Amino acid sequence: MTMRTTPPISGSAVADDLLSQVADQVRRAAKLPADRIMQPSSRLVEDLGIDSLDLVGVMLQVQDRFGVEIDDDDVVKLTTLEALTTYVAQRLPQV
Amino acid sequence: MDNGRLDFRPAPVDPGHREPEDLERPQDWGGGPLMGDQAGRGQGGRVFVVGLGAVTCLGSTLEETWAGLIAGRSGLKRHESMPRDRFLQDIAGVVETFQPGPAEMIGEAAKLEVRSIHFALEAAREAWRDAGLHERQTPSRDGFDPDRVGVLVGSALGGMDLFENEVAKAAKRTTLAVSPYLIPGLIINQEAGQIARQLGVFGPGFAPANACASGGHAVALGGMMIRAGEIDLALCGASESALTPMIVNGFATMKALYAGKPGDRAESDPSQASRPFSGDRAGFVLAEGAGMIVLASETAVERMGLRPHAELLAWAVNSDGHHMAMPHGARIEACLRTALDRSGLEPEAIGHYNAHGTSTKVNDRVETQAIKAVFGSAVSNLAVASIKGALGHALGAASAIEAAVAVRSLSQGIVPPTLNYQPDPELDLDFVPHQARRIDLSAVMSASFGFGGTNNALIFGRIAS
Repeated sequence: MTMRTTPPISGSAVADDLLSQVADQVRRAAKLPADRIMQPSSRLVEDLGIDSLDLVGVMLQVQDRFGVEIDDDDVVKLTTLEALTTYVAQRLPQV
Repeated sequence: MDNGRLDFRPAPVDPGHREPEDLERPQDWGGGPLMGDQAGRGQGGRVFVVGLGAVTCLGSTLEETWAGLIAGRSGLKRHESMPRDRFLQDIAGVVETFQPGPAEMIGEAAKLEVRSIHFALEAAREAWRDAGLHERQTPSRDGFDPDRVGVLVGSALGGMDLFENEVAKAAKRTTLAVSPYLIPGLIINQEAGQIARQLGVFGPGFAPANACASGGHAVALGGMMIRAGEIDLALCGASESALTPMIVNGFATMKALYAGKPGDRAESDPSQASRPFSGDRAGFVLAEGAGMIVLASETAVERMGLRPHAELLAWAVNSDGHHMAMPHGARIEACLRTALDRSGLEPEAIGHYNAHGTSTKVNDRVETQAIKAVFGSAVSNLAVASIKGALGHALGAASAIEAAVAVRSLSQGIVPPTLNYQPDPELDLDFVPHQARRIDLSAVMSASFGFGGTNNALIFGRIAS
């Protein structure tokens, strides 16, 4: 099965590479259509159409993929792709 | 047929037919019987099969499955995906060619990583197309009413694949969180829910969870609901994919699964592991798949111009009240006899019996005895075949697939063979060994029996051309 690649997105304060990886996990977790445009400022719910059930799956997928723990209380603040990516970047295990 | 029941001739206009004078019609309806006219009266109308679909290890459509069956092909083999360090048996009937549709096509179902749900959707779409119906068809003057379409689709075990995958993922997490799709994917009625969503139909939904009899129970339930006037159309069937370590090893441990002795003929040819009614039968081979049948009321057939493949003449469903897993001959016999009695046919009228025939020692013996008791001397002209020799045992889906194949046998006049058959002196019926056979059939019976002591028998009659 071929994996869909997320179009490169840039212009954000966080590393483009990580942003693309997070966007890819969001797209896969919520099974977003391949043509759904994703920007750093894209709001997960309002712009990407992710519902409350999907949001739980997105957070779980990001936790599994990046090895970070997302506190339930923080989820309400992670409204955009950029906010989510920044959150992940701050908690990535140091190599 | 001499009793006239099988002579179906579409009657476009039949004024006065079951039409109470005092029933008000919408002004713009255009005359003719309304689909809802039968509601609640339960007057015993006729029920027709108008659509068929299947996904099996022989192909992702009923056509491919049928072609494989009558050519005597087997879909059973060893699978590297079932390594012996995790699975007690690696011979299985896997649907290898299947890919779920993309999210753009199947919508939210893409989030549910449950193979049985995707098989169910695929087979349902095939059966719906075969019936000449369209997805999200709007209510129409010809009588299609989405509120009067039932979806009766079950499964024995549901989303075991999702469950085991999620257990493995959870074991690696530092938190106790699990996928939000776990519960929606596990509930057995999600197959029916996704089919209703995909097809745009909004009548009653039920999910018979009756082990290996689930699909046949669904067809019987559809017949009951149409005859009771609850619905006009019923999409009936079952879907199964439970080829997981826990389920394979569970069946193996209870000695239901094929387990050959050293030197067994399946060692060199795994396709010989499933051998219903054979003297050396040694358990069933687990498989996955789905089967679907669209049933329609006589009024729906007439009003919508549907093309019936067969008539569902009779059904019977009963319980053993006996044992958690062992079949009960007397109750199976009673089930077959009840269906036959209800059909109004003499035993001689049934030319083919599509057997449960699992390839276990007990089932095949008990089923043979029940057939002989019910059919009496007519058994000498009864072609008994089990397609589990080719397809393995897809649990709940098996009986739906078998019912669909039995209807195809009836309309084509061909009985698929019982593969890998070697005689058993105790089981002396005509098991149609090795090769398909042309038989002019006017009626067929398909029966199935499930753990928990639950049985069904369905009788289909040919449509006079």
